[in-house]
Amino acid sequence: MLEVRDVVSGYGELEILHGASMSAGESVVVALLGPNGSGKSTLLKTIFGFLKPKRGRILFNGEDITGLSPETMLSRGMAYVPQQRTVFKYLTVLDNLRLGGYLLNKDEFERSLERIYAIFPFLKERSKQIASSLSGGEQRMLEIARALMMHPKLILLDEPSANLAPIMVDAVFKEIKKLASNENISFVVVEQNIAKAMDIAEYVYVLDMGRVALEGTHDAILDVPKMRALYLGS
Amino acid sequence: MIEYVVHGLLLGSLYALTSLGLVLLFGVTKVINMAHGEIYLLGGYAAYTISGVSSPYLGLVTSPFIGFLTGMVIARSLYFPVERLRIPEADKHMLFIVATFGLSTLLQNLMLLIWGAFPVRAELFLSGTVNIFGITMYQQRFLLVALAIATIAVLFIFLFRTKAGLALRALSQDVETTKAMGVKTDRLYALNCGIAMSLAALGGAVVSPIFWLAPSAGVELTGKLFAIVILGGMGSVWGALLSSLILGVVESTSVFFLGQQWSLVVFFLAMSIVLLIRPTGIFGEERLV
Repeated sequence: MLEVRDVVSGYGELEILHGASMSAGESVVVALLGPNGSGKSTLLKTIFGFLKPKRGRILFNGEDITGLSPETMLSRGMAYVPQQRTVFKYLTVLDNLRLGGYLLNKDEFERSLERIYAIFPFLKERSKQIASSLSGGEQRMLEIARALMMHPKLILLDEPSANLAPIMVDAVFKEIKKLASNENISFVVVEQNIAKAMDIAEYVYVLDMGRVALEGTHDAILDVPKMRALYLGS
Repeated sequence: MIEYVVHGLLLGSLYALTSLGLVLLFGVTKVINMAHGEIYLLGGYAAYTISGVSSPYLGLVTSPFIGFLTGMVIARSLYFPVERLRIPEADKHMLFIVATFGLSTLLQNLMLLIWGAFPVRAELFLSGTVNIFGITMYQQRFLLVALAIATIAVLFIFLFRTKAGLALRALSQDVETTKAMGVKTDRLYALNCGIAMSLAALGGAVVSPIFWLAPSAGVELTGKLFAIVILGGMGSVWGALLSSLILGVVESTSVFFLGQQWSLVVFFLAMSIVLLIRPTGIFGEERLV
């Protein structure tokens, strides 16, 4: 579904990715791990078209999407949930979902909204409330729900566990896993919380200094002694 | 006394019309527009000239249109180039202040060249009076209030009931996330700038038969508008609306109690007192809601 080949990218003159490759199949959860500054977020931003790669190719559903705009990515079935809390906290829950479906026409929007309310009933109950009145975990769910408005086949998630209480992290990750299998959606998840990410990921990439240092299936990665020592603590 | 209150509300509706443009600019683009008073004057002068050669109603229609075009041009020639520079955000804000200050000077001198230093005023085109709730009001002033209320109502419907308005409010909170929703932000920035300037120009046009226009008069107005916007809570449209009316009435009634020479003092004193109690302004935060 998604294939990234030897992508070189960064901010202006500053090159952060020095040739990273990865791929993701259908309805799987892929984790991107690695230390700060290793290029995880840069990779997501490059895939979604916020940053134009200097070299390399990005394919989505077999089509070359290298350097296309975020709007194009959205309409082709890719969504992106940025790092940190990004709900529009002074807008209502419904307005947040409206923005998620900004590119849809009225009919498509209504249908999409019904589907979202079926998956997340609490959003329907609280649709008229200001988004900042939701708890941290609920706000994360709203972000994911907002991304789902466009019926994406692939969602790029930048650190879903950031600033969340541990119990909320569990709930959010459970929801991601459920969406992947029930709704047939693939996730590329950037995470600092290695243990949690490893729990739900079928395939793992470890980035270091702008390159993929290590990759493998969930089980294979767990067998690498360095990974176990580094991230799983003992 | 009641007449001064009515005059204050009239002044307040003019302030609201003009300051809402500043709020849009600051709320969405974080631009502090030092040339807002000059855009207002430009609208006033345009209406003055058009009403001199043609119909005053044509002036009222054309002025906001000229303001809108000016806004679009400013967005393209001033906002976008600075926004794309690779410098820290705080430096950009400083650059905007300096750039719009330059624009203010440029426009002042341009108006001086075209219309001269001598104050001018358009002909009154409505000479009768209307009677509303027992208060007699000049039709010309009534038109100002009616137009201001109608325009503000349309602006609020746009902001709170349309898709583009929703996108603008989202943009005032989080640029990157708004882009991630597929919103074409450049178009919105230009539209926002156009709307902001057309509001200022319309403000100048509606008062052109009532107040005198002079190229240097914009500076004082810009100062007042900033006081209003700060008092309302930078970037809050509701706050600006409320503080416009409050300061309009305060300014006008102070003429009744203390005399004309005190009105500016009382205006800024009222602002200072409110800010002492509520340093973030009436509505607080930097957002368009």
